[in-house]
Amino acid sequence: MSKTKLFYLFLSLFFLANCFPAHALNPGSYLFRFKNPLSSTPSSATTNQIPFNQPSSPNYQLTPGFPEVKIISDFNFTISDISLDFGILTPEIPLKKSQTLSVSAPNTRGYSILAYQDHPLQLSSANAIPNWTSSSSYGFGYSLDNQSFQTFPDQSQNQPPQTIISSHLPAITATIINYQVNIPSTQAAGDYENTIYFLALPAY
Amino acid sequence: MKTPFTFSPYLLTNRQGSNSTAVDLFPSLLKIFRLLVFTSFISLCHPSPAQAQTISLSLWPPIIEITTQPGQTIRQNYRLKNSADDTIIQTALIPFESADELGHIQLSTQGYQSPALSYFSLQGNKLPTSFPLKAGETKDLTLTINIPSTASPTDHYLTLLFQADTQGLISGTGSRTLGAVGSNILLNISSTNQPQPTARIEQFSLHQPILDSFDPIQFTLLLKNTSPTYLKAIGHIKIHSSLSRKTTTLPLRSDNLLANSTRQLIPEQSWHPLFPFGRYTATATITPQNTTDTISQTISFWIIPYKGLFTIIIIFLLYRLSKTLPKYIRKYQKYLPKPLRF
Repeated sequence: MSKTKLFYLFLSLFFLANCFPAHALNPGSYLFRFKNPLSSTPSSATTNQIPFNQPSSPNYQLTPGFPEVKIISDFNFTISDISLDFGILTPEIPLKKSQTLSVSAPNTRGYSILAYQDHPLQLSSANAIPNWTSSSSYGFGYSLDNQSFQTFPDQSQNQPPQTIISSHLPAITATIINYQVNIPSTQAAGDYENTIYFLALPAY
Repeated sequence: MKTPFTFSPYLLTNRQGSNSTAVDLFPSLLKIFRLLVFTSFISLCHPSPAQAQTISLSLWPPIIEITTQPGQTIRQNYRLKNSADDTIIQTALIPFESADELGHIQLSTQGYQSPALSYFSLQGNKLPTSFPLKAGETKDLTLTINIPSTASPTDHYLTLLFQADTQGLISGTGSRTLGAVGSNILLNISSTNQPQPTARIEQFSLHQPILDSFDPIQFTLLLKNTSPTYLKAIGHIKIHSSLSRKTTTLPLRSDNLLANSTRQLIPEQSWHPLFPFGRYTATATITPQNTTDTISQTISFWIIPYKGLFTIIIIFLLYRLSKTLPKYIRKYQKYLPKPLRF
């Protein structure tokens, strides 16, 4: 192979590698996470760097991790894109966004993802896009099946975080969460914002 | 001698010049330019997710279980890895309670302040605390638990939360999302260092009283912790066939039960006999860890291939009907109205 061809080959590989980074996650690539769901050592895991059983003393017993786990694998939580940027809203035209929540919990007794929002999408405390309800055509909500939309518990209303995804078995999962916002023509102009929190918690 | 990849403005502009190096090089540069345009087009068509801001945290261990006495100091290492963008980690310790019978947790966010929160420090700092964590960085963190000598003998259930405080970019209306991973702490402070938990079986059953031989067979086993300290259930289910006299043992996953809570226990493996048939008995036997108090309960059930039998009977009846129906039609044809005669 000539030097020119080799150069082209390396150049192409370089650009392709930048286009499709191995560690990236998006809704289209989540299937790769299921390539080997039964593997106890996913590629992202770092193993055996911390001693499994730290010594206990006569005065206390300390057990880190679960006793039947022989290969240490981290509990991982990934959010594909943390910015849900709807841009400029047009009344009566619903806008949709999605992101992927991935959990790798092969050495646990399952897990749950709890979610809540600090407040509804709001411009100020007086101007807010209400949470989506089944009887309303307007509002902001999320869906895991892209059919029925729900709302996040509201921290400003002292609502506790709610479990949105869970498993009672060891699991490696990727879940697409869809968001939708729609406003009436009476909605005041401006940039409405809020923050949504996701807490990935192993089962005990 | 050709120097094809030496960059010079001259080589780019003097296309028709006498310099043979420039003449030979231009097609190569043109190809490179086309390749660059092509690959740039590809990356525009497929925007890389790496350009979007992400959160990815890995944590070990997912749980620690501690039984100790007042006046002790305990240390545990945590490993936290950031596989996404540079971030600030906000760390907090939050009490939790059981959310269901499957071991999921519900954080106490209604202002409950456990007295045990003051026992903990991370890297020498009282919680909550924060620290930077760069992209790809892994940090080993030491959690220190100082149990005061005056601490009451009781249980504390806490979650150590690590939240990535990466700020997403929003150009108009939108939501920022933040993610956190947690690790649970089951802390039992006991004056004797040997708590004696007690439990009882609340329910041991099958999803149906009579099972089909080809259906999956699932037991429901609910254990109630009747003591004020958490326990770990050690046990198994023994299944005995009255017909074949064979016995199968299914070990139970050694799950934790919080004080005065109920949990569904799950066998480590499912039961898939080749062709189960007849009467069976199943005995669940559980011994809370570090105790000698064994509790057990036995149920009996039937497994028959009733769906298959039902199908065979239906096929047999249809076969009989296909044989006898033409005879009846021929026999009673004269009574049928003319348009219906065959």
